[in-house]
Amino acid sequence: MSAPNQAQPTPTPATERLILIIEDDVSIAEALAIIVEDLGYAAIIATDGPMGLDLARSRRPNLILLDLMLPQLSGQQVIAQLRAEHTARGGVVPPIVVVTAAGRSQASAAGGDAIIVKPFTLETVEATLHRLLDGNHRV
Amino acid sequence: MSAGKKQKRATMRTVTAVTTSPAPTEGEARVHQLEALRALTDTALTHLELEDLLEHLLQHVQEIMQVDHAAILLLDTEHKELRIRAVRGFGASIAEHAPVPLGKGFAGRIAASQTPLIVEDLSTFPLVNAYLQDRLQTLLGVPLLVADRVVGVLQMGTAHPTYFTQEDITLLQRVAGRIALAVDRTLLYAETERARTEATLRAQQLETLYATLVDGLIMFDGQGQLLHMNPAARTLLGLPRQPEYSLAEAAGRLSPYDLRDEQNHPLPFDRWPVTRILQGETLRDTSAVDVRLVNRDGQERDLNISGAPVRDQAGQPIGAVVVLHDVTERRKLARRTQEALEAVLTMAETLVTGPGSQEAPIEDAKTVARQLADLTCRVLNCQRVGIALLDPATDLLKPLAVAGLTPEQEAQWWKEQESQQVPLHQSPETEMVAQLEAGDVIQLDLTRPPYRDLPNPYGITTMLAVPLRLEQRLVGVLTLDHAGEAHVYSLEEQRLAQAVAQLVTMVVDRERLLRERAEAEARALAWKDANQRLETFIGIVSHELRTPVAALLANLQIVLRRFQNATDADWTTDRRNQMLERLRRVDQQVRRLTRLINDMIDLARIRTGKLDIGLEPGDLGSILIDTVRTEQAGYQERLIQLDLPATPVPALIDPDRIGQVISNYLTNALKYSPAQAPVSVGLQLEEGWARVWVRDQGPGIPAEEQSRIWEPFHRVAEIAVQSGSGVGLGLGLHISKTLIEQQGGHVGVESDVGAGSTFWFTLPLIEAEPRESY
Repeated sequence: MSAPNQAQPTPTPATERLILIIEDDVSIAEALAIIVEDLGYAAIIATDGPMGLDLARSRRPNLILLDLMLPQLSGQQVIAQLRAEHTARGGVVPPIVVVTAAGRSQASAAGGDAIIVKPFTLETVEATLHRLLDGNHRV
Repeated sequence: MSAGKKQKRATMRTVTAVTTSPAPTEGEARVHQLEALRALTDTALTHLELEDLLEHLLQHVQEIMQVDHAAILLLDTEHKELRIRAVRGFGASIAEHAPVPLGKGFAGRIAASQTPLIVEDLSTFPLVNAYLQDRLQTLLGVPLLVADRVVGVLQMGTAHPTYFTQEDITLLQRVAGRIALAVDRTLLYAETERARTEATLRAQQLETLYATLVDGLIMFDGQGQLLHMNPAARTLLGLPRQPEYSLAEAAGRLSPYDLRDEQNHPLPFDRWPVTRILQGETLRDTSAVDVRLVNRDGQERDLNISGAPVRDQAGQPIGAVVVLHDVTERRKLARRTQEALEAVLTMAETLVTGPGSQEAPIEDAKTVARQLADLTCRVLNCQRVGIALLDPATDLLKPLAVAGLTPEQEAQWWKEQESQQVPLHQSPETEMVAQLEAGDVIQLDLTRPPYRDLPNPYGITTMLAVPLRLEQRLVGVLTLDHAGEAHVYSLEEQRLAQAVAQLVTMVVDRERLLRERAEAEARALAWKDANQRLETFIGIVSHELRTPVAALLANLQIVLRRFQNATDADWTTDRRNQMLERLRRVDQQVRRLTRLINDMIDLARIRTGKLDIGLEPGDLGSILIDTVRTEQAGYQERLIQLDLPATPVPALIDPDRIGQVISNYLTNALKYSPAQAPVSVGLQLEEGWARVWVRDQGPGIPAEEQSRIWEPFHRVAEIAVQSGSGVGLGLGLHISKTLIEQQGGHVGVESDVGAGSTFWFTLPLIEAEPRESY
């Protein structure tokens, strides 16, 4: 799917790794998907909260990139819902990266595992994904 | 004894020429004399009227002694003289005889010496009565003696020289003895009568006094038996007439009275004032007892009972006098004053502690002052109470409240008060102002100068002015009056008025503080609200600006990386298309950013009044077609229906700005309705106006939000974007409204929750010109 990329530091066969992007701005969602795929992961996109929750439940992604200002269900509500469901079932919540245009304080209050502030650089996204998926074996 | 008298007679300077007289036989004379004496005694016993008695006595004496003149003189001990009280023979025709001083003349000497006297030749003797001196030759007199006390003189005389024998003298002395006793007895009787009359008179006076006394008066004997009770006492005790009453009965269970102390506790019988007085206690002034008396009919009276025991000479109580003073009215007034004071204090307490909390309404000082004025009016029973506040800025007394006027009078009063525009410190009553400033209560007599000549519409005689002071400063005046009544304000009334004045001051000051606090809170709240809105605004603006920038940057970086890393072989069609898509996104985001920036610039121009609109004749239909076409390009999958009239619709407009409004309406409609739902746009003509509308099938706008959506930064909380992305700054409708109104039109929305919305605007049409008919 992705072309050979020199910026890709480790050619890990990561096709089994799935990343869920919950973002209502399509151009940002698409850009994030390209970045994720360039790293060798698979990407799926949800453009609102309920859709994001559905995909999180059915596809069990390895990581979630989550916007906070979402229609219908906010990013904070999505996080709370996921944590509540996993606690009830005794499962594990995948790492959640909050990607937001709001301030850092609001983002950290949402309770994600990492924060990416908009506008972001490709390097920031790549470094965050490596750290959470390869450096730290939480999955 | 007789020898001594003879001797005394011999010492007188008078010459006694003893002559023989043709006398009856001794036996006959004896019988006659005895009968005369008995008759004399009878007379003495049967007559009680002095003058009458003396007349009869003399008659007998004259009969016995056969003389030309007989007189009885009685001693007036007070004036030390003798007065002839009865005369027979010579001198009887004389209405009034000169009094004879004690020791002087004939009778005077007899009375002084207490011995008989005979003057046989009166020609050289100094008689007091010249009349007798002229007619009488010889005088014989004896003192009227009771025990050793002289009460008068009995004298008799003859016109010719007569020799009185010893027997004559003795007889006369006997007669005198009887006369003296009779006279003394009669005098005593008269005295007793006079004393009795006087006593009766006194008693009657006292009775009248008792009867007219307002206070009840009761007299008991030593056994507690009721002796007397005046009408006032009967009224106070609720008795129709003087009862058969004794304290012994009262001690029993059948007492018709219930006595209570000031705390309204029943008073045991041994503590009853009457009992205490009968036991020797004196209750008066401060020791007088206040009780409440409840009689059998349940009537209550407050009585102040005083009294004292009546003692005999040995100091033993033999009775008691009890005075009942009705203090019901006074106590009522005192209680009312007490109640009023308590009410005032309670009110004060409520004012201080009550509405301090947020939710309690701040009571209007005017309302509270009015309540206080009414209360004062009732408590002090006065006609009017007025309260005015001193405005520190103008030095004018501004009315705050008045009580005691009819609604019409009150309306007039307010008008009068408002029209009085003399600053307090320019008033000619400098002394009065100074007194008020010093905190003194002033009583004004309006019937005297200088007030006498001032207008007095309510006919007030006296009034009270009480200063309202706050921290030693005069802040107002409370006035009250009793209309025409010449009322003198007691200290108690003045104090109560002062208490009310203080309360009013407190209320006014408290209201000021509360108002200031409320204002401060409102300011704080407004500031907080503004702050919150500012923060929300910053949040939205940063989100709305950062999001397209983030999209721009991410997409540009991807494209850039592809160019940097790719060889020619890498440029497959897929890769080309992918890059093209990224660049379209960049283009889209730049447009979006431009729109946002334009909106913000427009808002800034609206705020500063520098919105630039260039009006020119144009066709609304064409603008509508162009705008829909542009929007459709951005939402290619959406269905936009357009409904236009067949002919051009000319209006004086700024075409770009109209396009901006239509675009805004349309974008909203597309954004806030489901992707599959069509949006319709139309233009119609209505009597000189063009009406443009955009209808969606979105969630609709609640009625209460419909006016607020035109405010800047306002967004309906419940409504989420239905399709597409970006919530925007919430400026579009505000800018649209301003733009349309500046072109002479109106905007509006018709919407129901769940039934979609129709946004519209109208613009005036240009009158049809001949050129357009081609």
